[in-house]
Amino acid sequence: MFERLVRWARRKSPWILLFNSGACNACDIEILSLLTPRFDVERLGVLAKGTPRHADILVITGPVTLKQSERLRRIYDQMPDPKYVIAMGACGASGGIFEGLYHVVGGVDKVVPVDVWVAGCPPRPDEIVDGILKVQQLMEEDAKRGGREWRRGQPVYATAQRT
Amino acid sequence: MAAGPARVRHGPEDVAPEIVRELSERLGGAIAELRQTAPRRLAGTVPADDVRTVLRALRDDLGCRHLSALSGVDRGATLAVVYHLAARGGTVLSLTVSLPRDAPRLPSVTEVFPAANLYEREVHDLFGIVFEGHPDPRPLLLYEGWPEGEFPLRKDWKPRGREGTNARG
Amino acid sequence: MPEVELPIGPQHPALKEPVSFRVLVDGERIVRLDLDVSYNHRGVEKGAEGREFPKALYLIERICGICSHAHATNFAKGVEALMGVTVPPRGQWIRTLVAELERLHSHLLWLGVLAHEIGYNTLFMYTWRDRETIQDLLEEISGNRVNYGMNRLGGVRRDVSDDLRSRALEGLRGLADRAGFYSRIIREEQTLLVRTRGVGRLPRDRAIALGAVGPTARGSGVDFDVRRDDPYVAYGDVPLHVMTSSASDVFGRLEVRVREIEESVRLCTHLLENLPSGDIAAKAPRVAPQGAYVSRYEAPRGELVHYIRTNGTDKADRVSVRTPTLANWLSVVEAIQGRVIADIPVVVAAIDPCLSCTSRTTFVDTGTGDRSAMEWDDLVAYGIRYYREREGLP
Repeated sequence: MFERLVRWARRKSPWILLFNSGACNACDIEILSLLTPRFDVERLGVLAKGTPRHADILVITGPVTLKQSERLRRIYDQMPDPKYVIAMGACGASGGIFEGLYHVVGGVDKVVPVDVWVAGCPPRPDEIVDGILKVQQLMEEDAKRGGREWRRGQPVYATAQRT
Repeated sequence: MAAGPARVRHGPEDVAPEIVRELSERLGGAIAELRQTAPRRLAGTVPADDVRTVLRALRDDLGCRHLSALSGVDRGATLAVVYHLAARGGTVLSLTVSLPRDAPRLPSVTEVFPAANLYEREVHDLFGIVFEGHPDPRPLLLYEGWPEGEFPLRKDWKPRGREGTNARG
Repeated sequence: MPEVELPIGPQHPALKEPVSFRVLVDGERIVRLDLDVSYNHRGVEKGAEGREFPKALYLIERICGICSHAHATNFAKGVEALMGVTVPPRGQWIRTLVAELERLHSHLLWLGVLAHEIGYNTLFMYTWRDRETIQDLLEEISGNRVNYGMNRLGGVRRDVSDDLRSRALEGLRGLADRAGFYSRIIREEQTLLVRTRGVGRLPRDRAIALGAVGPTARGSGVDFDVRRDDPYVAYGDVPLHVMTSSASDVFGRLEVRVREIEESVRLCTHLLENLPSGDIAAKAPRVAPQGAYVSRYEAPRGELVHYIRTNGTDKADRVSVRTPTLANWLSVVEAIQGRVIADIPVVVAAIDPCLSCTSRTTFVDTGTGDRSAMEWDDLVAYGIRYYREREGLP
């Protein structure tokens, strides 16, 4: 009973941890726009939290520079389950325009598993909200099926993940 | 505490030719190949041993108090450091110092332009040029795991490992 | 008195890129601040060498998402100078319009961030709401809210219709009022005044010696602005007022930016009202002859320099970028000396770093060697509490 309450609370009010892995800042300021009056994402219960220990969703901007790669993995490992990852923009998917540069890993899913990619350079705030809502849907599906294992059988999951 | 608009101007006249004359008069031949390359743009060369003296003279006698930038360059046969000084009238004076590839060393100019502190560290990271007498010669841009002796902006540097899988240079 | 080292680690909860500080303190007082800026290094300069000019343009634009137009325009005009290409007047004016809109969005963004760092969240919300007017305008003009991609070699990619012009002018009229409001607020609001006046002093001579640029330098009375002193695009032909302050502290930097907001609104209005007719771009060749050029631009944060070398091919031989934030870091190091820990967020924010502040602060006690961690959030909250208790602020 309490389990269901916790799942419902988590779905209704996702706490977000933002991690900049060496981004140009465009994605970051569009995320920040979400907190401001025009988009006002707090009404969806979304709050930005500073520490991994309280976060449900890790939102990562940037192509992952070599400097940030280990730190990103560590932050991810510090988050308790169930945890979800959103990779922002073209950089999040493949390193974007920075792919192949000498100080860049090139794509968030080379470092941590990703649940949702939000396309754009940068994605618009409404597209970012869409990404968060998709994660919430995933949270519900996972909750109903007792965890994430059911996703392994999905073809998209198998081909998309590189970790 | 005052704040307010400065004078309005509609484009300064190009004083670069005047500056060439002043430089020749006051510094003699200290700057070689001194020439105007574009509106408000001057260029010249300086031997490595003379950088501190020349830059000090430019700062104190010619009013070039702002070091806009400091660039490393790989020209193939040689490496080079280029100092970009802001002179009056919006002029930029770019002074090139040529350095041998196998032993690229020259004096640090941080004593004359403290601003050079971070710029020299960057050039060392990217080209391996050594600025003698730099007060704090630590890496600036490359992360702690970056292998020593790998200078990525050199033309003959080849990427390897995970960062090189798709490298286009 | 044992000196304690406080490293401030690399992740901010709300914004921008990471940088890491190590702070040596003596009790509350800061002895020295050290910084690590390698978090954001990607290798763009090398990347530009391997890409044809138009592709390099898109890469360089993304050096910074907040001042992307600055980087793109500065690179484009440098290559055009080397190619001997002249951008037609209408193209120059549109570049200038987007440049000033970018300055507006950037300064409003910054004002909101500064307000957020001192706990003045109402001002953060106001400025970011007003900023949305600029974002809408930029989106209509360029197709994107951020990373506008307005430039091509030879001019701009998109024109400004008459209809858009009149709507833009209307939006700007509203912003002129708001800019006036902000100008009054910064002189009356206690929280802002207490946190900024006398904080982070940087005398004029030191600002110059340390290489400071932009509002950081102009806030210390340094009368240097690339738009006026080394004009580019349309700046030589429009009435421009350069704002300086003799306050030489964080308030001076704040005051300069707020006045620049007012001035940019005026400039955008002038540009829109007097936009010349004609082509928006000239044809640029594929290849640039042998040469070298120093391209300079007054980005929102200050003087931006691209040193471009070409060699008769379709790619640059060298693109050396000196961002204004790199020029301003030494000023932070100097201005924070002798201040208290609570001032760190504000003195750092005052240079408007195009590098976000980090969240994890690691404290190292040099006496015992013990390490402990603090979040940037907590440092900001600490600063707010400190001044609340000391000055009785709300």
